[in-house]
This record gives sequence, C-alpha cells and structure tokens, in this order.
Amino acid sequence: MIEALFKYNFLQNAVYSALMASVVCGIIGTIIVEKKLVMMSGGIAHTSFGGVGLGYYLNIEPIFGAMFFALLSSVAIVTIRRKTEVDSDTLIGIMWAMGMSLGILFISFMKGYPPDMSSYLFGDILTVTNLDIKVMLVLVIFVVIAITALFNQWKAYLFDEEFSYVRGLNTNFYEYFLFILIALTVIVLIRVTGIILIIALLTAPPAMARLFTYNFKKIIILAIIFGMIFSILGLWLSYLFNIPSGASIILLIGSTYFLMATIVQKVKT
Amino acid sequence: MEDPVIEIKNLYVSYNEIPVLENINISIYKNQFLAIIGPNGGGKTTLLKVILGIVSPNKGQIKIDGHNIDQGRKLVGYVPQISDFNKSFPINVQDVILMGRLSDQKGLFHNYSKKDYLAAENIMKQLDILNLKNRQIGKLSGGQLQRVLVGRALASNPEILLLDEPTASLDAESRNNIYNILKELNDEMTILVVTHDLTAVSSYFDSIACLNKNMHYHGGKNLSKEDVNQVYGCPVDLIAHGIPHRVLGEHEGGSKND
Repeated sequence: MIEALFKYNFLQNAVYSALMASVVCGIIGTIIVEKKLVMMSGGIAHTSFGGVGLGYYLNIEPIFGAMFFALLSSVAIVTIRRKTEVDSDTLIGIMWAMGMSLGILFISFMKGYPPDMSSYLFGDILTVTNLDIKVMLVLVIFVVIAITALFNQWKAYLFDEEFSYVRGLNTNFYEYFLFILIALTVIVLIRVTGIILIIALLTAPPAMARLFTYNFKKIIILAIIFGMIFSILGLWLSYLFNIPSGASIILLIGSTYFLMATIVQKVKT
Repeated sequence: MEDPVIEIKNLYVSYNEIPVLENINISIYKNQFLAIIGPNGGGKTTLLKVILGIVSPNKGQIKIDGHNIDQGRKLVGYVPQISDFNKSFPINVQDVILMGRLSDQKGLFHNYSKKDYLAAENIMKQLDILNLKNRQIGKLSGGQLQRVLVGRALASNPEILLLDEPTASLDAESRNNIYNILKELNDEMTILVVTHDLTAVSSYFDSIACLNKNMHYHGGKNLSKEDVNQVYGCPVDLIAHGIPHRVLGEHEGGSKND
C-alpha cells in the first residue's frame, strides 16, 4: 500500500481525511461522551442526510447541503430545548427520522436514475475528492482553534454549567457553539464513515482513552492518537481486502475497544 | 443599623404557573450565619438560584450589597448539591478549585496564572484536601467532595457564601467537619446554608429561617414551635435537638483557638 500511496491521489486523500477525521473525533468525541450528547450527535448526523438529498436535487455539492442541514438542526435542537419542555431525546428521535425522510424525498424528485447514496450513508474514504479535503481542512482547523482558544472555559462549562454561569460565563453562547462544532464535525466525518457509522468513530476512541487516564486533556490527545492508528489500519485493511472502508474502520475500532476494555478490566481486578 | 448584604423584598417565583416562593422578605446582614430550613420542595434551592441569577423571579426585588443581581452575584460563592453534577467527569481536585478563578474577563488562550495556582493551593491547605490535589473527583468521599466544592466557591474570594444541602448524605463526622469549616469562614464572610438537617441547626447557626413557599423569619434563632410546625405541616421537636448543643453555643465569641 505504501508504494500505491505515492502513486495514487485518491489514496493520499484517503489518508489525509482519515487523519483529519481522527483529530476532530478525538476532540468533539471526548466532549460529547463526557457531556452525554452521543445520541444528539447521531441525530444531527442523520438529519444532515436531508441536506445530501437536497444537494443532489438542486445540483449543488451534497456536502454543502449536508452542512446546511446539520447546522440548522443543531441550532434548532438547542433553541427548542431551551424554549419548550420537550425532552431532547424525543426531539432527536423526530428530527433523526425526518432528516432521513427529507433526503429520500428529494432524491425521489430527481429525474432519471437516482444517484448512489451509499457513500454518504456508509462512507467511502477512497472516493474523497480534493474539494472534500479542502472543506475538511477548513472545518478541522476551525474546530481545533475553537476548542483550544477557550479550553479552560470549555472545561468549566462541560463540567458544571450552572457554576460556570454563576462565575459569569455566557453558557448560552457555549451551548450553541458546542452544537455548531458538533454539526461541523459530522460534516468532516460523513465522507469517512458515512452518516450511519459516525457515532462509533466519535465514541470509540474517547472510550478507549478513558481506560487509561482521568485527565480531560490527555483523554483528547490519546483519543486522537487511537483514532489515527485505527482509521489508517482500517483503511489499509479495506484496501487490502477490498471491503468498504467505513465498515472496516468502525469494526476494527469497535472490536479493539471491547478487547482493550476486557483486558484493562482483567488487569485491574 | 448597617445596610443588609442581601435584601429580598416581596419576592414571588413560580414554575409553569405553580407558585414556588410567595412574598419572601428577608434582610441578611454582614457575617450572619443563616440556616434556611424547610421541607423538600419548599423552594429552598429556588431561593438560592434566584439570588445567583439562575432563576428569574416573577416579581420582587433583590439587592446584593446594594447592587442588582448581575453585579452583585460576583460577590457570591456558590456550593451546589453534590448530587447535582457529573462525578465521572475527567477532572481533578485542583482543576475544580481553579474553576472558581475563572470569570468572563478571561479571554482567548487563557491559562491560570501562578497567582491562581497559589490561591488554589492555599485553599486546599485550609480545607485539608491538598493531599487529594490530583485525584479525580469521582474517587473522593462525600465529605471530601463537599470540601472541594466549598474550595471552588472560596477561590473566587466571595463575600457571601451560599450552600445548598452541604451535609446531605454525609456521616456525622464529615458533617461536623463541614460545619466547623463554615464556622471558621464565617469570621470573614456572610454564610447562607439551605438544609433540612435539623440536628445541626441550633448549635452552629446564629439565625434560622423557615421556608415552605412562605418564609418565617424573625431574625436570630427565635423560631416559634408554631412557625416550624406550620412550615413542615407536622409537629417537629426543634427544642429537643437544641438542648445538648447549647453547651457548644456558649463557646461562641469566647476563645477561638483555631
């Protein structure tokens, strides 16, 4: 594969996107795991499918349609959650399926043969384009700066929202901003693992990291490293055996987590 | 008489049209050590949250040291209930205490200064938790965690300390430990404790208010049996708890050897 890596642009793009995905997964994944927003993030991911469909229908890049839907749904979730008594779980359930339905609806409006949606649903890291890479790079840089520049504030907000508010932190701002960052992360990951598989890539690396440290910063860094190792390994396996990349990365990372957790448990007892 | 540190006038709060607090009037003075007792659901926590600006009142006026809440709450240190937050969060004792030093003025790429670390260390020494500095908060006992939360509140140099059920689910030793710490802090600050722990009430506090939607407060510890019974809705033997502690009560103002 190393040889082919230098030869083929698509393989280089695959590696770049896997590495970038690992960075945002390590950061935002750790946050959503600690803040218990995993299902919320899954909901935002699935809602973005409506945007993919809209993109195809209007003949614009589906990734931009997805971004629009992801941002819209994340802002809507926060706003509805604040203004009404509706349980976020219920809300996510409704938006999750509505987004998917909209995607299917838009596709059905299209004339001629419908496009193949499976690369958006299950990811196909080997078809990542140069444009995708550029979009991903901008988003990854934005997420990294947004988190590092306000790291102490984020930590305080995530740990104890109420106390942070009392200390004068604008928790409203942090809540909206966090959901926007989740939406952008979803977009970075769509091409790598696909909408349906995103959740595992967000949760498995932080879960692994958590087996080894109780330090928030170290969990993030370790999660990024784990993400990089396993997404590249998964990519390599997918290339080697010609199996779908999203599935191979997720299965590898998921089963490694269970193996690690079992071993760590055994060692501790 | 000097101006009150916290002055609440004619306060009404309701959640979804269900009244929680009605016509609350109270003035709390500098270095007062006030217990607010009352049954669960009596609005004790809500009252604290109104003072902190977390819950907005429907009606009424609150002044903290003469300022409105937005300004005044900067003088307030808050110790929430331990049961209220995520104990599995990957954060250690020192970092929790440093959180108290954070404020809205801290900008981008903020790092805690040497002064912040020094202040945190002094507080940890004072509360006897310096040896737990690097421990993840989920691995603390209830009493230790409570002291960490007191420490976090102290880190912001408050003039007023608000505590929500600081001794709930603590054993007798940890409970006395917390109250002794508070008693000591009371020399420097006004302390307001919400509790339904009637055992400690008469010996440590210098004043007691009863809250169950309405407030019964006459300044000092003079709560009539009728007040308490009315608030709790059933007879409560307040006096029986008072007697064995009264010995301690005479200590107050006397020798302070710690």
